[in-house]
Amino acid sequence: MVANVISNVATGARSKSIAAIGPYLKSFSIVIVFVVISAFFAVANEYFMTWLNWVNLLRQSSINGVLAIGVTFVILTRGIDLSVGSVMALAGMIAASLVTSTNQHFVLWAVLAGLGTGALLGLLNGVIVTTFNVPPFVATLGMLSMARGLTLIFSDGRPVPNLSESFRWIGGGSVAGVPVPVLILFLVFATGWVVLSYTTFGRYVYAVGGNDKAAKTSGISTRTVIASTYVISGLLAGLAGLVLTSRTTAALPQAGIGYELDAIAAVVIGGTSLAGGRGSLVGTLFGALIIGTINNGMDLMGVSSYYQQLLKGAIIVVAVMLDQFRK
Amino acid sequence: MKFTRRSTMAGFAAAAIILSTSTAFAQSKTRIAALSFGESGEYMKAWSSEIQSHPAVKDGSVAVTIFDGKYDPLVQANQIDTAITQKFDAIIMSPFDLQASTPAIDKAIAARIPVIVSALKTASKNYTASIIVNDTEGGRIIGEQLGKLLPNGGNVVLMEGPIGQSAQIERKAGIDAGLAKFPKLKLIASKSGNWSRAEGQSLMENWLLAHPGQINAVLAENDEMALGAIEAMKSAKVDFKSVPVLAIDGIPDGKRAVQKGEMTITLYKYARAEGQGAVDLALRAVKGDSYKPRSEIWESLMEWKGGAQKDYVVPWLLLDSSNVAKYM
Repeated sequence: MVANVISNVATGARSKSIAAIGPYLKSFSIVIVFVVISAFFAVANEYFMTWLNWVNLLRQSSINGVLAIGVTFVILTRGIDLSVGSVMALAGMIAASLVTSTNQHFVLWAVLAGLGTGALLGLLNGVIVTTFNVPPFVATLGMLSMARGLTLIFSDGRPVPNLSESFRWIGGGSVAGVPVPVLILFLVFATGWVVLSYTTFGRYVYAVGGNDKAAKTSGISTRTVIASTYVISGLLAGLAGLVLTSRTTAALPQAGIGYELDAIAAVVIGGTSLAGGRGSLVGTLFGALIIGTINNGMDLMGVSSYYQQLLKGAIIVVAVMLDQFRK
Repeated sequence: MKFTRRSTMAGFAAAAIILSTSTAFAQSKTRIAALSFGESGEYMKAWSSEIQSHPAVKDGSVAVTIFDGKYDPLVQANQIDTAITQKFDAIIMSPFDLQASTPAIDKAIAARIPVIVSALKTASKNYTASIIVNDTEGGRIIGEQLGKLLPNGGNVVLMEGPIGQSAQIERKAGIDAGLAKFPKLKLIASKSGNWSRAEGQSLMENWLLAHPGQINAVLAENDEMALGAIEAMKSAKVDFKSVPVLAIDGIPDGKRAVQKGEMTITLYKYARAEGQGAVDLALRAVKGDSYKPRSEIWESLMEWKGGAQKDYVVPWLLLDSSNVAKYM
């Protein structure tokens, strides 16, 4: 399925001329799609437009949003990261093991361990891709399985329950009425946006994805840039794993299975080209919100989950189709 | 492009119809949210259709919305949030995970929505009532039945559910206790087949290679894996009818296998009891002590006891070739 999505988008991405104003135009159109979908659900269900529901919706989108922001960096360099679902499970599991009732450490160590695990596996992905020239699809597919295996080995297939109160705050707490996962999402988004738009590194990411050879000849260390995007993706997968584990109040060996697909879908809906060099985090953020809105809205209306699957797939394809058509 | 646009519109129109019909009824009745842990599995599908065929749902006095948990505790937590926002009168939940379901259930209870736990257990102590089969008892029954089938002992292989799930933990504990009474039975291999027929099949293929001619019986913690084992024995040309296969759940395919003499025993987990029974318990929580249950299971299978108990235990029905026809 991933392969399908990828080839669809890759063959469809042709006009590079739009690249200059692209990000702004694109984010604008994705916002319209988001508004239309929200309006549809608002008319169809009386609860959709309540404050409580929007808090729910944002919280429900936060994990996918954080994952998708990391994956956007990788996809901008023409890569892909299929391992984020498994990496988040391992990171969550390792962090959780440090804050159980029998092995209670300061919560910051657990957070650092989770983030460190994610970043380390991301670095491994990056090295395998850049130094050993393994295609990103294969390298991260391997990591998807390896990280899951490590999670099962580490946990012996058993959940890690009874996590400390302070650790549970990450996923369950709120600050001034805003859930912590939502704050995390917006912090990650803001940081990522600044990095991509205003730093040299951000420009390098676009340059490497847009034209690898040109970037190299102009003196950019493309390997370092590419490897760094995998570290970012892994780090954010680790962060998402902390939020997930904290929200479910137990680390589960099967957590996060298939989450990479929703993350990639959010990036694609957000208009980032799988051919690299073109896209924005604004698009990704709204891509994640659109997926969250579809899930939430259809649940509110009591649509059978069988139809939900069908409609969700159709909306992904239609969103990208409209985007191509508009050009 | 014209064609595409038209079909998009048709898609939206179709969606709108599906959506509006399901919400139109939702007002001024008792509204129950039923959280299935995964609608793509056969048992859960049976569970939700039993809920929808409860007399009170059929006569229109109760509106049920089925939520698909997709085997993901986070999805279920999100759905509880949704059910609270939507102000459902009661929630029936089949929790995918013992531990991870706790905060979600506590949250619903804090929002004053009764939660009836059905089919799988939760670690939460705050739920309103539960109606679940006793998995430990089920494991013990198949362990003991095997002991009776092979009085001279033999080598047994065991297929387990996903390690750590409440049904796996309890069925395994029961099987261990049952087998312990028959020291001549020797467990030579055991591994998780994740409730899956395909995984059960490859597990059995590997075991048949590793222990040629030595496997005398198969125990499986669910029917799907046992059916996989039977397929593996068929293709390996093992005289599979001489190898007893005992499993739990009594899904339609499992019952057919018992009828054909391929599976020896299955324990029938009556989806009607866990599904419709939960609806009655939910309605009692909404309407009060005077509520009279309407599902037939309270006459044929279990005692209502005023609906005042916290935990209802659904009995297993032992199906073999002698009685399976009655439950097809």
